[in-house]
Amino acid sequence: MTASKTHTGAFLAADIEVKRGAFTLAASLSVDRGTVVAVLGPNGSGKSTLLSAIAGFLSLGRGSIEVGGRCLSREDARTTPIRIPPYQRGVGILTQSADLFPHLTAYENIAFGPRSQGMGRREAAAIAERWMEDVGLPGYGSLRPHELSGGQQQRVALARTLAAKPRLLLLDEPFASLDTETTDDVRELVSTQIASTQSTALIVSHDIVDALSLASRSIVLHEGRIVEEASTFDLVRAPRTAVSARLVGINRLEGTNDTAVFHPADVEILMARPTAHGPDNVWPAYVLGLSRDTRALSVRLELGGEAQGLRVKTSNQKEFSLVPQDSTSPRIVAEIRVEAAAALNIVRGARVWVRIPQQSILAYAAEKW
Amino acid sequence: MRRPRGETRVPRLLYIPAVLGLALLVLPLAGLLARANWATLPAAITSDEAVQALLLSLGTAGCATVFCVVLGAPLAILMSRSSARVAGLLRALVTIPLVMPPLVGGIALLYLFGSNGLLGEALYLLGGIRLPFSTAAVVIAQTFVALPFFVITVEGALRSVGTRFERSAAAVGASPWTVVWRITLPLVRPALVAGTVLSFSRALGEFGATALFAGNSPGVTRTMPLAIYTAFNGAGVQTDTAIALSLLLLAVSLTMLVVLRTWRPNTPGSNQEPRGSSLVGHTV
Repeated sequence: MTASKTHTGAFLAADIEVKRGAFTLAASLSVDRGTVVAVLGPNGSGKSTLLSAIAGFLSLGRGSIEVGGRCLSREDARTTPIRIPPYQRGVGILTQSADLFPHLTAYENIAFGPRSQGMGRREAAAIAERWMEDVGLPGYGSLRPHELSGGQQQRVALARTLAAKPRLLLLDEPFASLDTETTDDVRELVSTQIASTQSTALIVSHDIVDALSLASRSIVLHEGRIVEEASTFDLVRAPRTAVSARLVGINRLEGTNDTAVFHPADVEILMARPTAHGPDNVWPAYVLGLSRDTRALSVRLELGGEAQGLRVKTSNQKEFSLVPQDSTSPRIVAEIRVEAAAALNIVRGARVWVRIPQQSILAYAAEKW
Repeated sequence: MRRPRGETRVPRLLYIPAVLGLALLVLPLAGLLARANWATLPAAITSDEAVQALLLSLGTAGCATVFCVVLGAPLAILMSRSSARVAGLLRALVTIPLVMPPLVGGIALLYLFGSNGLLGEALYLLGGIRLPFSTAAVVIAQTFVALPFFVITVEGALRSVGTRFERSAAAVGASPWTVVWRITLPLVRPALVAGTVLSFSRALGEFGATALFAGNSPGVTRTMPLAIYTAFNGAGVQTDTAIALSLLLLAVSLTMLVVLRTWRPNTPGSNQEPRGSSLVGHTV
């Protein structure tokens, strides 16, 4: 998937290799002006390393980073390296810990960027005041960070980042340390502010919801490499790799040449083998465990018997046999209502049957990850 | 978790060594106060010699403290931002004067700046400067023994604050100098104050290195500790003067602590500071 040629015409064009101990990040990506791209991946996939490199906090082993036609980093064997220091990059970064300056008030935190860039005190104060209104905290300006809640701190941090007028905005798991309700509010604010400032942004997250609400395009990072790049909609509907499928919470079954994907909500759990099931897929399964979501229950299942014995029939009229991955039987997740679980007495270790309607399964050619 | 009255979490046996330790710290001061001749005290501490020694002490210790801050803060910043190995090495180097007997430090300084010393000879040949047994030597000796206190205190605080605030500052366009003045130093203000107080106290009490490197000439290098030593070693009559000077030195040190209040690193409660002072202590 990784294209090693430079992207021309993109606002952010990065083709980089960064080594950190035994870990290597090798990624090439681009973001068009005024758009938001999400970088998704499990922990340790290299997401934060990528942002640190773009922000200039990590030096490249090889490659280049360009923002708006200006080269920020370049390391290659032939030419003199370019290493623009972070403060001259015009790259703003918002992380999960707001990291507001604890010795300054909210106003002073926001005014800090403009002041550092040479703006007069009065003008910077006016900007700070306007920003506090824009992030929904009018009248909180003279409070210090420790007097603000986590969500409020993150709002001020967003204002501080945007008040510095970054050419590129980097969001590093910006909602990861907020509770669910606050996350929704702050996410909406970030979305609104990105739109109104017409920011070009890269958001790193392990949560698909962040990508869905903010980014039109998504990149999936796995072990330091880009394994998938797609519109966020396509990624959610039909993830092409196992990593992506896990991220977006979609079941994925693999044959020799084909891959099938289906939503956990389309899996029905039965206590006995149905007598007549027409074109539906019906397999024996073993309950590995249960976990509770807000409204639904996730049931982790291992499909029974030998994987080879299981045939998948898909909506696009394909039919193929499953092959075991890493010598384990295929595993899927079923999403069922809590009451259904209770009625069926689904417990760990139970032997059950699953039914997945043929029209719920989508198939396409298999890919490596 | 309510506990019945009287029951403590601490083993009672701990009280014995704790009280003994406290007694060892407090009783000598009481002995000093008990032995003081209050009738002759005013005369003793206002004598020309005492005033001269006190002014010299305050002046040299003040200069030494300024050197500690000006040289120590940059050293602490560099140490806290270097790799673990380099920082470990630097910390060991900085700690040596701390664990070294001051007398040895005095001899070492003498051989560095003495007329045949490593730097002393060059200084004399180039500029006719002879440092040993001068007031400048007093300041150097005091800085030598006090600087580690400042560096270690500030470096520890810088390390615990970490670099995340500096990164945030850089990301909104603050130059490295702006970051140092507006973020790095204000964030460790309590440690800066603590380090300053510690190094001033250490400089004020410095005896060993000063005695060997700067000598004991009245008005030039005879600081309070040396004046006390001289008075104590003189004829029996002078013992009263020694005690009086000791009390004076003690009073000066205590005043320092009380006035500056925040003499422990990361004093809690600094958040209640009035709005007017823009720099607030930060505990991580």
